[in-house]
Amino acid sequence: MSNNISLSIQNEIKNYDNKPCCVKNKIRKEYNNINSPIEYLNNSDFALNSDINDGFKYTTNEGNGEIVKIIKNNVSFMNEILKYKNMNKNLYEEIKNFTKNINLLSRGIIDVYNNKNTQFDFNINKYKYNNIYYFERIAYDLKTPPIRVIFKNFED
Amino acid sequence: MADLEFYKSLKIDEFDPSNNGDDIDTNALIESGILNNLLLPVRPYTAEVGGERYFKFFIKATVDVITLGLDIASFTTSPTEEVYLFEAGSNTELESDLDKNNLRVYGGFLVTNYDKDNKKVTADRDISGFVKAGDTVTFYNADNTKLVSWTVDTVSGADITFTEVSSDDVSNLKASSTIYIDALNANEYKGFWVKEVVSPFTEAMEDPANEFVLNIWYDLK
Repeated sequence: MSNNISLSIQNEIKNYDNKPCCVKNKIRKEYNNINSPIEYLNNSDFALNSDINDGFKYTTNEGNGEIVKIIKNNVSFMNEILKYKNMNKNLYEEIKNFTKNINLLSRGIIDVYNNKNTQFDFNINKYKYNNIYYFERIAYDLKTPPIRVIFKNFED
Repeated sequence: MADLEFYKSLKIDEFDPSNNGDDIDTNALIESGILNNLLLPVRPYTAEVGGERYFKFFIKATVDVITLGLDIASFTTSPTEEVYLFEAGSNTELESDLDKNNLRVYGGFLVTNYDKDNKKVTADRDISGFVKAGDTVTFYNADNTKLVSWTVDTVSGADITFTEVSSDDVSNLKASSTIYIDALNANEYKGFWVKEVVSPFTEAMEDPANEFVLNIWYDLK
């Protein structure tokens, strides 16, 4: 009969701060990732940038990811994703579940200016479904309609 | 004195873990259930954007022991953090020495379905990264006592088939792939790493604290 020893290993996770002042700095740090699509979001031409489309694969410090869907129009998010109901049932279900339990983590006015001196307002939302983490980042540049991007972090 | 004791490594840094590791620190005994005793706090930035951290620990024998098995009897209670184990290449290895893309890691999962007739277990996620053909998988009761170990025949996604199964019912149990160690004589020690994967937007666990349970089983020589 084998002997057993169990060891409980416990550690703390320090809460990050959701205050706009701090979010600003952290998001800035992400901007520094040269390959991050966030960098493109920091450019008001993003919505017209033909290089960034659905399925765009990228690498950041967060790992490899993929832009699942870019929604460029100022339409109801739910109405937009309803289009997926028949096209991609899994994605539709995932987004639907997300919107039920939307967890707004960060919201802040980002005083980072692009060459048009446009101020951006970002929302970052996350959701988890089937052990995969999805991130929705919404960029408003106060001039053009909001840009919604869903990142699927498939490293998780 | 316990037959086996657990110690931290000489180098361990909360703010810059990139150089963690090195040899055993025999003044740094790891005790069960003490907060931040092996894994240090996850810093706020890492909790927000995610990351990986590596911590090294040692198992030291106080008597002669044989056929040691080490695994994660209970994986992390944080829903957005995962931990894996792997054997150290040498006792003085640093994190910077690790070939992180080619680590043979071992880890835990939850059984979501058990098909005894087909000797098949389905896990709660894709386990092919840390459960391999030929591995031993150990199943744990709710109190983290070992129930049974079986040998893996094949792995595909979340499905594992075993070469043989016993009459034990492993439905809904926690399980882990197991690191085997042949033997340790008294005063010998061996190093292992914990790989901690922190997902972006990991939130603090307060009550209970963020926890995982290591289990080691062995025979006296």
